[in-house]
Amino acid sequence: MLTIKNLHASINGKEILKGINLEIAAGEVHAIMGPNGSGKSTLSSVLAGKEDYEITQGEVIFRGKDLLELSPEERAGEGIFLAFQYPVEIPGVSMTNFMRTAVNEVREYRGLDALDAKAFLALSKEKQALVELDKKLAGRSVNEGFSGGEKKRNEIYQMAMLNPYLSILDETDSGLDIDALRIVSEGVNKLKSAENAFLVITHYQRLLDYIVPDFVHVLYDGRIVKTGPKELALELEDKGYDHIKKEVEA
Amino acid sequence: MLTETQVKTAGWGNTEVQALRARALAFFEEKGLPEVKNELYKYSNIQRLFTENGFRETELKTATDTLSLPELPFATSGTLVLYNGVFQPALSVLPAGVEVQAAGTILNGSLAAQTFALPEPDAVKALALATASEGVALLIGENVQVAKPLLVFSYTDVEDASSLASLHVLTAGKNASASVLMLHAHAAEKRFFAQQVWQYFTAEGAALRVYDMQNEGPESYTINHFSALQAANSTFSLTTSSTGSAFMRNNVRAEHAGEGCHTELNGLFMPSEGQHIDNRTFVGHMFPNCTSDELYKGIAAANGKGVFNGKVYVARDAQKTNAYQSNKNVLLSREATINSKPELEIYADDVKCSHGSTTGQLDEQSIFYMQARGIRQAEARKLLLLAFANDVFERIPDMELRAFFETEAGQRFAALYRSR
Repeated sequence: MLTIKNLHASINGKEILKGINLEIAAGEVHAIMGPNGSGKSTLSSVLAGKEDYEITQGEVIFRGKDLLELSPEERAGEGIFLAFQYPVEIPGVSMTNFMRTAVNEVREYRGLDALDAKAFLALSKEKQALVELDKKLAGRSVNEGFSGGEKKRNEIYQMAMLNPYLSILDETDSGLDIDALRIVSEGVNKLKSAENAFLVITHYQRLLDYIVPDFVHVLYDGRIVKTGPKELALELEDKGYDHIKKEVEA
Repeated sequence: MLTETQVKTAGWGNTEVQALRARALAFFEEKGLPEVKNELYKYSNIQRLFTENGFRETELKTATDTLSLPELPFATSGTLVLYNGVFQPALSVLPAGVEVQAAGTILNGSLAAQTFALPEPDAVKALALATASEGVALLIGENVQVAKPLLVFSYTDVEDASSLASLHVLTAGKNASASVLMLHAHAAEKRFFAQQVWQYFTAEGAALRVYDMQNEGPESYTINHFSALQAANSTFSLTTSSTGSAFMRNNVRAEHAGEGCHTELNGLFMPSEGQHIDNRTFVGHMFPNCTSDELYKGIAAANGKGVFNGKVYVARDAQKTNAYQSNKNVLLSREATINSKPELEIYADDVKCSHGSTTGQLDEQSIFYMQARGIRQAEARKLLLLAFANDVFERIPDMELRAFFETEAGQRFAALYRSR
């Protein structure tokens, strides 16, 4: 589904990603872990198409297409979804208007007819239930006045509405209490299928108790320095990142 | 310049008015068109406007029987048609309790003095007063409640580079309530300089809401003089949505003549390529226990220029005044300009007044967030602009009118990004 080859990316002339190689197939869950500043969030931003980054080398192929040639909205249309670490508040744009526009833009991109108001509401209701999102939030402006947990549940609700092939969860666990973490994870697990894949970016092992990865990658200094099964996450939790740093530097 | 014949041929059988017009003309001839060092027209170069376009007086047609009226998506209470500023009775239908006369028939004594007053040394208004053809006096009877908006449709059909002016009066009788929607259109490819003077009198307890949809083509160079004199416990509100015209200047003035008045001024101005839109407002709190609330929002694209200059004046006796003024602007390009000059002049000591002005850009984080959800960048920007403008729409209590103004703005925003 996704092939990343020797990806280099810089911001303001400073190289952050220094040759990432990663292969994700349909039906898989990959976790990327790493210390602060290793490039985790840069990788998710680059995949989603944030313009602040300059791609200096390498390629990203997503379902047969050169991802780096596509605008962020085209990537969303192709089936990339980024659950933001810090979901953006958009005063004055209602959740309903935002979501309906998004769903219909993506449907148009995929050559599907727009959903009418009734069909949209039915779909919305079903997906809100998935992450126990309060109906009242639909009438509010996007993320405005949402608690930390509500913001993250809102991300998963949006993911469910847009039905992506590849979902990138950027530190979705940050700022979540244990109950919200469980709800968010259960939502993700219900959305998992043989056709889609997940890239879970996290600092801590905690989230991976709930969303169990098939592969764990360790990102350090802009490169994937170690890949292993889910047990690697436990090892990292146990020994800390210093252990990896020493291994790499040795 | 262009005045001599217009002064003579503009109707006005009223000799009192003739004297006041002569006085206005003398004032204009003494002062001339304002230079940019004139504080009132600091950001609008009126002299250059005239030199570059060669506006001149022309023979104006005063009647038409072929005008097609705008089709609106909602019901109105009636229609008043102005053609080159001249009332067209055959095309007009007025609601019960509303009548039309020639403006000169009611402009006597204090009404005349008020209408032709120049509280500020504004030579442009003096020119409008001196040259204006005699327009309508729209009289809304005592206790008359006009539920649906009354449409005032103004059509300009002139030779290229014509200059024209007209003066109209609207009186809302005691405890009357009405809203007026002003729409404009003009013949294609004929530039014109139009001044409209609208003098509003709201009697005790009356409520008058005026909405002006300013979406004319690039041939239009327009200066509006909207002035309201409010008797006790009356409400006056003016909402302008300015998307059109090469040059637009709104001179807005509301003054209280008794206690318990409320004034609301709302403006959305959206200058784009080659456009200049200037709003000058004055709210005069002359009596105690009055309130005013003013919100102007500007969105400037391409090399568009916008201006907001609003003054709130609170006289020494106007205790317990509540006056709010806010101007917020968004610049969509490096070449766009908005000049904001809010002013408070307060002589009373027991008042609540505030004003604020901000100018910024669309939030790029929000745009990326929407793009990441599949929303095209142009659509994301449009949604943000509608959200920005929404505070103004929310002040339109009539839901049909609100939707009408929202749609107009939405089309404008969509067009902004199509043309890139």
